[in-house]
Amino acid sequence: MTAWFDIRRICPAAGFVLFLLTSFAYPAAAADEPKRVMLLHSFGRDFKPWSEYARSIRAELDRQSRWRLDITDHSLVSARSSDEDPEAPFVEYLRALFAKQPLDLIISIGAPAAAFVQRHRQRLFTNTPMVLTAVEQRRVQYSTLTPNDAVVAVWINYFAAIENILRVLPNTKNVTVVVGTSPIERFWKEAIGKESEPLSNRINFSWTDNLSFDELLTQAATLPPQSAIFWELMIVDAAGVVHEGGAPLTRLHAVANAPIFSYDESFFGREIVGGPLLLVADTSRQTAAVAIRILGGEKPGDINTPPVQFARPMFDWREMQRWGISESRLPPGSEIFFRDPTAWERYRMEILAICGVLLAQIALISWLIYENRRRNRAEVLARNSISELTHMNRVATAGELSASIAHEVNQPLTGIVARVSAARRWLAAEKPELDKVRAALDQIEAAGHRASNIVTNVKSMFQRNTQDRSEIDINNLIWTVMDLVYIDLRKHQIELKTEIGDQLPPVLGNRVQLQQVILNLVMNAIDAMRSVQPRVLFIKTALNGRDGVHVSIADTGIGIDPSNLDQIFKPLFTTKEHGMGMGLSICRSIVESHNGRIWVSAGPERGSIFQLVLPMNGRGA
Amino acid sequence: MHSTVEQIVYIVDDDADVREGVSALLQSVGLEVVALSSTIEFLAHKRSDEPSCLILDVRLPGLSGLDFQTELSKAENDIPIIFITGHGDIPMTVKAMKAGAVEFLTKPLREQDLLDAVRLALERDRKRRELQMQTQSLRSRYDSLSDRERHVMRLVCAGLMNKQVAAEIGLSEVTVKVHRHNLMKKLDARSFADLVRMADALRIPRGK
Repeated sequence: MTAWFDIRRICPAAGFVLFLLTSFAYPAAAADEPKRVMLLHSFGRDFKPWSEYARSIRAELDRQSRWRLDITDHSLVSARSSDEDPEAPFVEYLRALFAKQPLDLIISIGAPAAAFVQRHRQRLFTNTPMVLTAVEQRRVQYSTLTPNDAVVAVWINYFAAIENILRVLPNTKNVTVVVGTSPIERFWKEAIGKESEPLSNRINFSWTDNLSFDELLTQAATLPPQSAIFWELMIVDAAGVVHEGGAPLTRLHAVANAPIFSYDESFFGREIVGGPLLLVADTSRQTAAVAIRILGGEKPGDINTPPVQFARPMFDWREMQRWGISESRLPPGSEIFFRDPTAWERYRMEILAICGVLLAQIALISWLIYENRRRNRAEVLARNSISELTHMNRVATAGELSASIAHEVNQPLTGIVARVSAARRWLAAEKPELDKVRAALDQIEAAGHRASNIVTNVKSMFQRNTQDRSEIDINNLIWTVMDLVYIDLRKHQIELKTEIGDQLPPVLGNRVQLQQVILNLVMNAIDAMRSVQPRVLFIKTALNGRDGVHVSIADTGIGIDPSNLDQIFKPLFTTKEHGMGMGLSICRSIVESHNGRIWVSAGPERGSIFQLVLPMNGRGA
Repeated sequence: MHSTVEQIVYIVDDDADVREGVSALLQSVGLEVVALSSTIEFLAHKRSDEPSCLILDVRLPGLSGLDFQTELSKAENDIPIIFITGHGDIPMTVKAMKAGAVEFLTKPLREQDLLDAVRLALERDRKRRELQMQTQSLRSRYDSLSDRERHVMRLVCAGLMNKQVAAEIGLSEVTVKVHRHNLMKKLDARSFADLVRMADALRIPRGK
């Protein structure tokens, strides 16, 4: 600014230049003034779908405008009826309102507003540019448009909209078109009817313009099957009630027993199923763009924008679920909104946590099972080695013992045999030496007795602990033995079956010896089943006669060769590779020392049955 | 049997039945038997100088039969041994037989086995004694040789000619011949080969 003053002082011509500059700069200076824009609503600020357009256009204008904007809203209340009388005073009112501060732009929203401004173009600020927007192209009087008018129209393809219903719900027979009684609603009733004429052979259309909204709700709740509702407009119902905002659609949705379709995005979001829809944003963006161009100085009449058409179809997942519309039915390129988050999306952390816990649990359980198996195996191994050791020990002891006994008995036998030889020679001599023979015989007799004594001593040495007798519950005794062998049974996968007689009389006997008998028979049974399947050990106890106990131990093993049956209880007889042939002979001597009896027979199919009978008062042998 | 020849069978067993029974059997075939209950008794027994053998129980209190066999061998007592045992195993038998046992018999004894073994043992002892006696007489004859004769004998047996012997000792060949004649006569050697055998039996080193 200081530079300008300098110039004015220096040169008078500069004043002229300054004048020019300032006159050119005037529009720039006017930029400081706000651009005045009037939004003219058709019914009011809260009537759908226009309310959504108005809001969106405002937002777009704010976003796109280089200027400060002064936007005022006015509503054409008269559109609710066909009465055009109130229009004239409204026009006057607007004229008065903007007489002093002329408008830069008028934007009419919706068909009634468009019709209004077109009707009153001459009286309503002839020079003020106008944009007719959110208006169906069929509602625009293109012939009366002035050069100051621009149109951002929409094209609602009702045929496509109705066809969409048939596409997603092919069985649809009835379509109820929700429409009120205001002039624009009546217009659309007729237009839709005409446009969907080709579908009338597949669909029965019904209309709601003769119903109050409450009646409409009642009817919507009881629609026949295979019905659909097409939501056009519900501004004024048959009872003359005006419906604002989203409430009517919401109320209808709450009671309707049929899916609701529509044509505009502003109804989309809960109540309608979806389909090809007009996008509010498409129209708003274009309207704002046109408005800005006009505010920027372009002539409205030069701006031609094609009508906004249906965007790609949109569907509401929740409604699809409700009406059983599968995704495959949707037209190609459809977009699905409000899809319920899947369980995975919704509970990812929880699912991961639970899976983690489960995995940890599985790992823990597996580890425990593994440990348990390992322990069992170790137990079996330990037991194996113990039993092996015991066996070795027993064999070794038996070997020592038998060598010792053999030696002891051999001495007198040697003497006897040698003396017999000598005696024979003395008798064979020419002159038999009978005295010597007699002496030899005496010595032979003595040696024989000595041998017998040795045997008796050995026997008594082993019988030291066998004379203790007590009353024994044979079942209890068998279970004690089974406790000892359960690992062997498990190791060899032998199934144990028992048939235990109750109320058996007690047996008077030596507990340890009888345990030895049972253990021996069970171990024999296990050995016999080593190489066969199935492996079943069957133990049975029962009363024998009046005062005895009968025990039967049957196996499904290899059985006993019939030729061996009568030898099997003899000492030193064995069919086992490492057997000593002592087990069964000891069993028999024990059982017999209890005044009992033991015998064996072949099993019914296979294997052998060892049976023993013990009298109640088995007196010691 | 050799009932006419004096010979003795010793039996050592701690069990009286065995000892006496075996004694009776051997006596019944006319053998002289000395029955003893321990090895100590056996060692203490004054042995007469006639063919003999020892029936020895393997299992004895104190020193075992096998160990006693070793002891006897160390003491250069070559009496043939027949082992008897209640339960002989193979290693035991092998050990005994290697150490020169005649037989290893298991109780109770079979008459024939025992008698055969005794006969064999006595025969072996008799032969041993004969050999021993022969060597002793040869030794006494050898002892009667002069030093010069012994020297000549060594050289001759080493294969030297009389001439060479003479040169070696520094005598005339004739003198050597005289010595050689004398020594052969003293030793009762009928030929040169006989002389060499005697030198071997006496374990005379050959050469100078």
